[in-house]
Formats: sequence, C-alpha cells, structure tokens
Amino acid sequence: MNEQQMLLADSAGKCFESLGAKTAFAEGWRQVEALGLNLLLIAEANGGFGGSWDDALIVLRLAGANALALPVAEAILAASLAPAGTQGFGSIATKTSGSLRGGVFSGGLIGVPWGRHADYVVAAIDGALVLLGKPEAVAEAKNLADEPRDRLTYEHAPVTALAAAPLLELAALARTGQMAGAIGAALQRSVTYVNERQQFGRPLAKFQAVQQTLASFAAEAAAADCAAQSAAQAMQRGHASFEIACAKLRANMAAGIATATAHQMHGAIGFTLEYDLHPLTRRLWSWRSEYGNDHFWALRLGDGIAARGAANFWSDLTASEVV
Amino acid sequence: MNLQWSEEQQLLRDMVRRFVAGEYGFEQRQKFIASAHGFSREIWAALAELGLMLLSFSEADGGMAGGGLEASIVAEAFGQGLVAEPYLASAVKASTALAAAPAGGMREQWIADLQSGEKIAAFVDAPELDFADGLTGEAICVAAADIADFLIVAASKAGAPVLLALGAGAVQRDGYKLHGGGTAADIRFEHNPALVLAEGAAAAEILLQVRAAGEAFLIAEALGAAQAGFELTVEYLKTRVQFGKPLGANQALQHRASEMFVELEQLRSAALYAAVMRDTDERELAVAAAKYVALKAMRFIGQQIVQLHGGIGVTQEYAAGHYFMRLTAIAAQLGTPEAASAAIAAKGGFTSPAPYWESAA
Amino acid sequence: MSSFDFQPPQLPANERQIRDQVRALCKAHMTHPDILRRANSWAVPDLAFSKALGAAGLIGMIWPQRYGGAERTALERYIVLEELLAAGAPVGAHWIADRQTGPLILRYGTEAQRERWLPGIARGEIYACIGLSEPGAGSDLAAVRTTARRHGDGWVLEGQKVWTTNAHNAHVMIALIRSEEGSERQQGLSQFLIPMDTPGITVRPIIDLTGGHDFNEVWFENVQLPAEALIGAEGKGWAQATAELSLERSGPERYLSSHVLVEALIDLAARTGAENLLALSGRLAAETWTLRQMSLAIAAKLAAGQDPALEAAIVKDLGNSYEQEIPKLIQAAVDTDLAADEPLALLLGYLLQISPSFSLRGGTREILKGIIARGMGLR
Repeated sequence: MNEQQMLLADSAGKCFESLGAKTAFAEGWRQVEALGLNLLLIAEANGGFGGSWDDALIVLRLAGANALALPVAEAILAASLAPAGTQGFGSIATKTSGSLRGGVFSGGLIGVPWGRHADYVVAAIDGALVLLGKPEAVAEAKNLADEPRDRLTYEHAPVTALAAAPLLELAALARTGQMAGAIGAALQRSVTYVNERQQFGRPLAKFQAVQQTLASFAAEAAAADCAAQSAAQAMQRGHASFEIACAKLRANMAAGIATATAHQMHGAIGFTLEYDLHPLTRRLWSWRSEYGNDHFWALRLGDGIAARGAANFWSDLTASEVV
Repeated sequence: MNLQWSEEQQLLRDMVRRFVAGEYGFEQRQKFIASAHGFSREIWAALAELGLMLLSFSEADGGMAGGGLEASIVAEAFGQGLVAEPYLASAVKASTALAAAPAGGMREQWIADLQSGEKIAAFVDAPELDFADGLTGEAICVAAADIADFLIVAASKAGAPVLLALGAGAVQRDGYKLHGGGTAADIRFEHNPALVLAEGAAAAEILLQVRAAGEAFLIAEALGAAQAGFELTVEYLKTRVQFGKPLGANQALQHRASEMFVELEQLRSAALYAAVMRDTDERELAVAAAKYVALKAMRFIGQQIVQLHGGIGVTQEYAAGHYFMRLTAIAAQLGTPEAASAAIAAKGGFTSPAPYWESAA
Repeated sequence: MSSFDFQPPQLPANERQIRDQVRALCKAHMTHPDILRRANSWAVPDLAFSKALGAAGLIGMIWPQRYGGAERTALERYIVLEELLAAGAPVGAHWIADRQTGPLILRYGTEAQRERWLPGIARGEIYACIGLSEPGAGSDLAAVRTTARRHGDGWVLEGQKVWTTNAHNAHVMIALIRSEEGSERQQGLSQFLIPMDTPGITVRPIIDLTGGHDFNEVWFENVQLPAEALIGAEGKGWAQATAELSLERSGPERYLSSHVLVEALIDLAARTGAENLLALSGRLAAETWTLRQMSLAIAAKLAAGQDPALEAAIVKDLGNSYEQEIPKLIQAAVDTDLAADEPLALLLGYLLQISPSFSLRGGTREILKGIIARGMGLR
C-alpha cells in the first residue's frame, strides 16, 4: 500500500469499526458521505476521490471485515456510473421485471440493496444501463444477513441513459472484495478463539487437528484475498470479465469452507446472537449467491473457455493485455 | 434381521480366507500376475476343488445354491488377498446367466465344465450388438475374455434382448493385462454363429440378475481390499517411527484413520445390502444405492491408504499401493456416484412441490 | 490485518517475447506429443531437449554469466517455467539441477565447485539428484544415518538413500550425510557433492504403481570422496538443506501438473456441450487462475529477496489439494463410456494412479499445514 492508501485504510477502517453491524442508515450514511467514500471511484476533476479499483478494494474489504450494515459497495458503484454531480445515495439493480420503452420504465427492480433509502438507482434493464429516480412503491425485504434487499416499483418513470458498463460484473467484483474481507475477519476470530479457549486442560490451538483445519481455512482466505486483488488489478487495466468470473467463483468456494470451519471452530457459541461471528457468516452465505452463485460463474467461464477452445486456454490465462 | 453368518456361511468364510492367506500371499500374487496369462491355473483348479465354482448353481444343476451372501463372502476374501483370478467373470456372471437360462442343449455340459474348473467363461454385456445372421460387432475390455473357453453374450435380436453362448476360439480377440490385476480382451464378432440360451423378457431378466450379481460382488471385493488396506495402514501407523514417536501418535493421523474406519463401516453396510438385495425384485434400486455409498467410501479409503503410507504407498513392491489400485479399478468399473444417484432418481418417487423461492416474485 | 500477504505483481515488459520463444522451442521439439508423456513432464528426461534449452540460455537463467548463466530476472525465469510445464515439455533430466542443485552450489559452493558444475548444468548437459530420504528418515529427515568418515584429506561414505528422483540419469548427487560421529538429529550433518560415477555407488530403480521409473534406491559402500566434495560448511548441512527445500515449495509446477488433463476436459466439453463438463471446466479455470496469481505473488517476493515461507506453504498446500481433486472431479463428471483411446480416458486412468504421489513430493500434507498453522500464530 502507498501512503495515500494507508490513510484511506485507516480512516475507513476506524469508521467502519465504530459503525459495525448495528447501524441506523441515516447516521451511518452521513459518516460515509463525510469521508467522501461514496465518491471513491469518481475523478478528482468531478469532485471525487480519484481512486482506482485497488483503492476501492481496500474499502470493500474493510466493509466486509467489519460486517458493515451500510451499502458502501453499492454507493461507490452507483456514483461511479451515474452522471457527474448526481446527489444523494444511489443503489444498483441487476434483476428487473417489466419493460423499458421510449425512455420510460414500467416494472420492478428486485433485490435492490437498501432500495428503501435510495435517491437514485443505476439499473441494467433489457441490456441497457439506465438511471432511475425514486420509485412509486417500495416492498421491503431482507437477505439472510438482515441486509435490505427491496423491491422497487416504477410506473412510467423516465430514465436517463448511461454509458454502457458491465453492472453485474462490477457488482460481483465488489462482493468479492467484501467476501475476502469477511473471510479474513472470520479467520482472525477463529484464530483468537482457539488460542484462548481451553478444553482438556489446554488451549484448542494445541490440538493438531485444530491446527490442520485452521491451516486449510487460512489457505482459502488467502485464495479469496488474492483473487479479489487480482480481479481489481485487471479491472483497473480496463477489462476483467474473465478475472471477475474467476474471482467471484473462487471467493464463493472459499466462503463455503470458511463459514463451515469458523462455526466448527467456535462450537456452540458461534451460533449465538451475542457472539459476533454470525454477522460475518450470514453475510458470506448471502453474498455467495448474489451477483452470481458458483454454478452461474462456472458455467459462464466454461462456455467462454470452450468457445475459445482448449488450445487457447493457456494463452488466454496468461494474457496480461486486454483480450 | 439376523446379521450373523449361518454356520455354513461361517465355514465358507473360514475356508476361503484360509486358502487365500495360505496360497495367495503378496509375493506369490505378483508372480501369478506376471505370468503369461496373468493368473494361475493351479490356483483356479484349487478354487474349483474347494467347490467355489458351484455357488452360482442350484442343487438341481449340481451346484450349492449359494446366494448373494455366499458370493459376497468369497468376494470379500478375494479382495483381502487381491486375488486376480477370473472368478467374477466365470463363476459369478457367466455362471449366473447359465444357471438362470432354461435347461437343454449344451447348457448342462457347459455347467459341468465350469463347475469342474476345466473351462473358463466370460460374460459379454453388449445389448448394442446385433444377432442377425450370426453375431456381429465389437465389445471392448471384456474381463477374462482373453483366457475364456466360451462366451455368454447379452445382445439383441430384432430389437429384443437375447442371451447367447458361443465358443471363444472362433472369435477374434485382442487380450491384455489390466492395471492392478486381471486380464481382458477387445472382441470383434463377425457373423459368428451362437446358440440362443434365452430370448425376450427372459433374457432381459437374466441380464439384470447378472449385472446385479456382478456389481454386488465388486462392492464386496472392495470391502475386502479396503479392510486389508486399512489394517495394513493402521499397522504402519503403529510401527513407523518418525520424530521419535510412532506416526499414530499424531492426532491428525488418528483422525484420518478414524475417518477411514467410518467409511469402512459404510462400505460394509453397502456390501451387505447389495448382497442381500441382488436376487430380489428391488435389485436395481438397491444396488444403485449401495454403489453410491460404496463408491465414496472406497475412493476415500484407497486414497488415504496411500497418503498415510507416504512414499512406500506408491511403489510396486509393497502391498499398500496395490490395494489403492484395486479400489480405484473397482470404482472405475462401478461408475460414478453421480451416475448411481441419477439411476436412483430415474426410478422415480422423489418429486416434491417447487421450492418457495421459485414462485413468481 | 492478516499474517499472509499475496499481491499479484506486474510481469516484465518482455513477457510476450519470452512466451513466444519458449512456445516455439517446444513446438519445434515436441513433434509427437504423447499425451501421457506431456502429463508427467517434469519427470520425463529428454537429453536433446535439455541441451536445446541450455543452448537457448533457458537453464540457469538467473545465474552469473561467468558460470554459464544469463543473469536474467526471477520473474522472467518464472515465465519460462510455466510455459514449459503448460506445454508438458520433457524437462525431467535437468529439472532438479536447474531448480535446486545449481542455486545451492551458487550459494554455498567454492569457486572451484561452481566452475566445475554450473556451466555444464546451464548447458543442459549435467544432471543432478538429491539424496535426502532414507528408509528410516522419511518425513523426519533429521533421522538420517548415512555417514561420512574422515579419510586422509577426504571422506568415506557408507549408507543408503531412498526415493531419489533422477538418480539413474544424474551425474552428481547432493546428499545430506551425517559427518560427525555420534551426532544426533540436525547436528553434525553436512552436504556432499557426489559424482555418481564414483566407485561404490549402486543405483536400483523403484518402480511406481503405473510401472514408471522415477524414484531410486542408492547404496554407498566404501565410497571415497576428496575434500572438495564437501559443499558449504561442515556440520551446517541441515540449515543448507532446509533452505534448499523451501525452493521446492512454490512454483508453477504446483498447479500445472494436471494441466494436460484439464485441457483434455475442456476439449471434450467443447465437443459435447455437456453442461456439467462446461461448469467443471469453469471451476477448474477459476482455481488454476487463482493459484497462478498466488504463485506469481510469491515469485515476486522471492525476486525481491524476501522469504515468504508462510505464503509458499499455503500455495503448496492449495496446489496439492487441487492436483489431487482434478482427476476425481473429472472422473465424477465424465461419462465412463469413453472410448479407450479418447485422450481424456487415457489421461484419467494414468493420473488417477499417480495423483496420490503428488503431495508426497517435498513433504507430506500434515507438515505443510503445521507450517501454516505456525505462521497464523497458532502454536
């Protein structure tokens, strides 16, 4: 990390740590806006932080690690895709119903993170990327981690066309970063726990079987982390379809092992509401399915690779330039 | 349900195990496998003398009317000794087919030849072959077909199942040894004349019996190999000293061995279930279910035998790797757990209402 | 903050040119690509190919020029290695000499030792093996008992090594020997450079489950060595050998050993369009890609002179699991009714047999996980 990134990590980390998993939206959002985090990817010339995807990853991992109950990821993405100067909190939507005709949308946006608070939404509808304002109606819903995933209904709402961007991929990249952070935090919790907790007269950490299991957990956390960084690096170069597919899939797989192992290590206490493991693991369970579960990305990758042919697989894998 | 062996079954068990332990040691086995035909005629003759070729036949046919359990007893003992004789092909599959076929013609003579151990048969499971103006087509990797004196073939005639028998001498065969013991051949039939043993529904029923008997035998054989490999592994863990203590003192390795043991018990149950159910009407579903459990268990156990032995687990000279190879080979023959579960699903009865999250949002 | 750190690096600007060069060399040489040979490439010796690589300056790439090296960077070398392995090129004869023996001689050897051995290795003409394990010293290497006793100016060796890869092709062995009488465990060990044509050395092949010959047993009976056979410091053999082992712990071979099989799967998936095969191809691609990124991160650290022991153990462990999973996953997905000569069938059969051995090279799984656990602060 360079110095600017260290400052970013420090301020975002402190903010997220204090806000944590139990924050009311208004107060939390105010603090996030005060730090300018939602403008992270916006060029300085347009009043933003001028950050890269490597910078964004730092913030996303911290958000995941602290089980932050705020849509920082969505806000960063939405602000970067919306026209310069768009005010307020923006969310994103990749699942829609209804239709877009003549610059007007009638239908629903499904599973919108914190949609109930959104001032605007960047949505992928019928292959186009558009900007929508506040909806006619909101049906509140949540994912497994109690994160708002609302359904917004629009009636003949005018849309603003936006420059094309792969919204699903960008959202998957964001989730991958959050997952890497959450997996790392679950690992740290587990290490601390087994070092402290005693059974049969010695810390759990002294048992070889525990060491071996946690070593596997650490390896998965490392894989998710490296995958997230690599995908962010590729995105920074401008094109990362392959890398994001690989990274989200790898993070999904790591999340499966991480959640199981973390709970195994913690035993009963890990399932209680008071102990702070479940905010991490429930997010990981939810995020694994969001913006592409294992099968979705495995198939997408496989289709692409098969179309290119086995003879091209290695050269595609090692191509650093935009393909 | 009585899970104890009967007195006769216990006798059979003792007899076969004693024979394998005495006559089929690891070094002897390696010599038999290296020989020209990959097996030992002397051992085969001795097995016949023990009466093991009689198990698949009814008393009316001069046999001992053994069922699935008796076959599994032999299979398990053979698995323990990694016996590489053509027993499954000849004394189980071909014999089961002949036993179930209607009486008459050459059948009784062939049965006598098999029972005495004088002749060896192989079973060709090939419904895609057409029997019209003789038998025509190719069958690959047919166990024991290279050394067989005659072949029992499950083919088709005018689109309907047919069970045939023919001498192997007149048929073109390319034989080879199989990795991990045993031999096989690729066969090319060219309008070969054959005798019809059964047709239509009767032939179809016999084929199902033979398949179930074959797979149940393999599962029990895997049990034997897994059991012996497991014991060898535990012994190794107790005796091999590194870092000043036996390997088995390491908790991580104790856990591995425990996991192997659990899988071994699963495999035992699967073998028993397949053996008991192989001659019933529910055989297809039961054997598929047994395969599903058995495949996971035998793969895991095979891999762990090698892992826990370290380097010597992958050498030719030591038995551990050979147990792994046999278990891997059996697993390859039985197919995949996914195929087994697909077969179970195909039997039906598992549908349920669509999950709630798939209703219109 | 985490204890591990994986930052994927930027590759050198001449990356494309290096890849093209190696691909051209492989294509020119591997005119009859036997798929089983490709599958086990770094164990397959091909003296002509080793010499060709040596002539192209692709062995001993990062060594000083005065010893026959090319003084290139570690990342450039990494690119060459991964291209060779992905192609399944037959690098078995010189692999150990290039990767471990040469660097050891460079680091601990005298000028005379360097001049004697390194140029031949760099030319792809001299091959090496490593004498470590013994019948009583497997994962517990400190239990070695082969002895070297002083004899005039030189030494006399007695003992036995086992699992010695490539001993049958090697010109020289680097062996860990107990040189101090009465010493125990890691004390009193030294490393020796043993020319394999020295009288008293017997090599016997150990055949593996596939019938292949990779490993050997080596006996030393009254083997007389001159003083200059000792490499490095007397009594410091353990530390020297441990440093050498860490070199074995990371590198593109960790995730490329089943690469040929993965390509065969992709090919079958493309031909059949079967959804489960396509999904499996995607999953394997994601795992390969991730392992590669992690491996590159380590290579960059090593190139910068750091010692990423924890990261290297993690990648080796993940790589091992991955290598062993591949044949099983593919077998589970693919219809067992493949024709006998279908490339995937051949490979699968072969790799199912040898894959358990992948994790035995360079230390068994439990030891690796122990290193990771220590690195995470668990002991």
